[in-house]
Amino acid sequence: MKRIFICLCATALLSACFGGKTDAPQNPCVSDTISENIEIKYATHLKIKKFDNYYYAEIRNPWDTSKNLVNYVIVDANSDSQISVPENSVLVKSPISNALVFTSLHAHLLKELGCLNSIGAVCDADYILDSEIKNLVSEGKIKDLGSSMSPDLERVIIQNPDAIFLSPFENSNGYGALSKVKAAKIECADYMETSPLAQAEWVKFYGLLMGKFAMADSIFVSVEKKYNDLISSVKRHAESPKLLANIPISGTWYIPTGKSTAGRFYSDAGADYLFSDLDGYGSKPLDFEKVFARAHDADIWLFKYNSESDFTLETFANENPKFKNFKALADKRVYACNLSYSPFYDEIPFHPELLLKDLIKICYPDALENYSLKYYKPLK
Amino acid sequence: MIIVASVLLIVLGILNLFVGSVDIPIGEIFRILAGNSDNEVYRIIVMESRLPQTITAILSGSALSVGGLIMQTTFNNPLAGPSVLGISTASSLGVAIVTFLFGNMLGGLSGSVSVIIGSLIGSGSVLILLIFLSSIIRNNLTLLIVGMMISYLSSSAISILNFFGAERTVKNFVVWGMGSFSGVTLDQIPTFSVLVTLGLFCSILMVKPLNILLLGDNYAQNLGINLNRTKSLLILVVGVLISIVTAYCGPVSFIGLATPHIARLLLRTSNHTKVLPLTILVGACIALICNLLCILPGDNGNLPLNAITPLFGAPIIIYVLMSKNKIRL
Repeated sequence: MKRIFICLCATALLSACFGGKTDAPQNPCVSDTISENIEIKYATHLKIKKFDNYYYAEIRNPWDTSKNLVNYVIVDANSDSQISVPENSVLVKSPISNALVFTSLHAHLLKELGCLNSIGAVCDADYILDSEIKNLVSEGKIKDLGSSMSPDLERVIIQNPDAIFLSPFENSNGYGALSKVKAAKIECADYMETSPLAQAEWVKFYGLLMGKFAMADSIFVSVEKKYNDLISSVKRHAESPKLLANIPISGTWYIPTGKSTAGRFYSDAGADYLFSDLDGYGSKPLDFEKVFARAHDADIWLFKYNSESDFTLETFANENPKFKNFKALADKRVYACNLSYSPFYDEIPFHPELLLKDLIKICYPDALENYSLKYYKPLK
Repeated sequence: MIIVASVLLIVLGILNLFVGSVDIPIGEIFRILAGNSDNEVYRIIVMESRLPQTITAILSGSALSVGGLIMQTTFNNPLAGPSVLGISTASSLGVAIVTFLFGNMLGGLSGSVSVIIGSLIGSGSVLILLIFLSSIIRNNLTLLIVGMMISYLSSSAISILNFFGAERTVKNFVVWGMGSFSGVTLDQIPTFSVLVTLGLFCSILMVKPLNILLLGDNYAQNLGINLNRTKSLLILVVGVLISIVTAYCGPVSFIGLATPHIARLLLRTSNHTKVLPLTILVGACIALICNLLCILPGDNGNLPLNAITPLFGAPIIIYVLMSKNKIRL
């Protein structure tokens, strides 16, 4: 009896150690063999495996990296082969033909992949800058389903999308009312990547979903080459230009850390980013004195704003009298990106090389001959 | 007690000048204050950041606290505060309209002149409405409820604007709503000081009617007080004080609600001749302490003001609720 009890205990212990439910990545069908691992060099939250009849994409949870946010079994829509989809995975038939896209960024990307016709509806249409997509929305060829925070469920159901591209956020606890819609929810966690090329590499995943993997792969290869060539082209001087980013909001400066995407852009552009030692991957709220003590003699000052009319040096200086104490303003080396018309957030995530060009030109005006700034403009 | 509070205010004021997120040697700060410093960076930090911030904290703390005191006496309600009549919410609505609807046109930078104007227009409109209503509504409770309804309406409009607002604009508005004493620049200090001091001076002139209101409306009328006119004047004073502070610093919570109770608890009286001056001093002290606490995380950034003020406000309100029978207004 005692032996049986010990055996039972040992079995229970072993099963507790090894037999529990795990979030470790699993192949959808154990019998399937991986024919190829799609190379993912930079993205940390994305893995793609190619099997005989399908692709298997794992999206890692950016807020709990021991788990996966979601896994996708991507099959050819025209294929007859039967795939058994595991519980923790979502079946997506590629190419997606009627997508509901929540962000202008991904709508813009689908357009670049030549899949404009596959966008059935968008949210937050007011914030779309791309004229072609805007025209299609105004003509009613692409439906506007309202705010991405609370899309009109009835219109979503009528639209009957086969996939919904949405941005996940921490502790979102599902999709709310959207969970009632049968469409595959595509978790666009690319924005949680912290290096410029890592986010850009997600184009491969979207290409796969839209049946344009080869095109997406070549886009990324080109982006990667251009980005790395630009980094190599920077003739780093003994004294790189000191850079300050952003402006205060109600007295608080949200300063990007060195490991943030913005921080990496600045160092890749050969700038001496003055807050590169800040911890974390996002931005830190700092007060005026902390920023001023470190950045009063910054050579370059970059910021983004949203205004119908462009800022001038005068309007900028009048905005806050403390600004005039910064050397960059005195030297007239303040560069600003007006988001009311600049497609900064539509283009940069998947084309970081375009921003890097701007930043290199700003840091080293003699570099990149014949190039004129695209996003950031000097205040005059 | 007034002397103790005055000494504490001076000590805290000096501490606010000497302690900040950047370590500046004490000797250097003395040289800066004496005008003998060669270090331009430290001079700008002390004179253009810490000094205006300290003055703003002192004046805002005093103004909000006096606002709370007048509201509690006028409405004979220990839980009345600057936000109850909807003035600060209307101020927020004004800023929301400027930020969300005209943000593109005006630049959309928080802390700018457009935000101050938006806030003043919002609170001013509600103030005029309240003064008109106070002249026709005789019942305190009814007026209080009308004020709360105005507050709810403003909140509703703000929610709608927030819902349709762009992500970055929403962030600007949310950050403004966290409150800060650092938004007032050295150039704006004279205007801010004159307006707040004027409001505080007017409130001191209202001490006598405030004391009479403590005796109840009927008694006050028997003493020859014109209730409607007095209440309208008190609402005007409170409205001006709250509008100005909210316009420059954002909605600052709890200080206005809690400070009058601290003053009454310290003095064990509700006599405004004594309570009002102590409320001014204690309000300034609490605001200075909150301002100091905001820099506690050091290199990890600054805490928002409204994350700190409830640390003082909430325990006081709990105390008041638990011993409300012991406190007389």
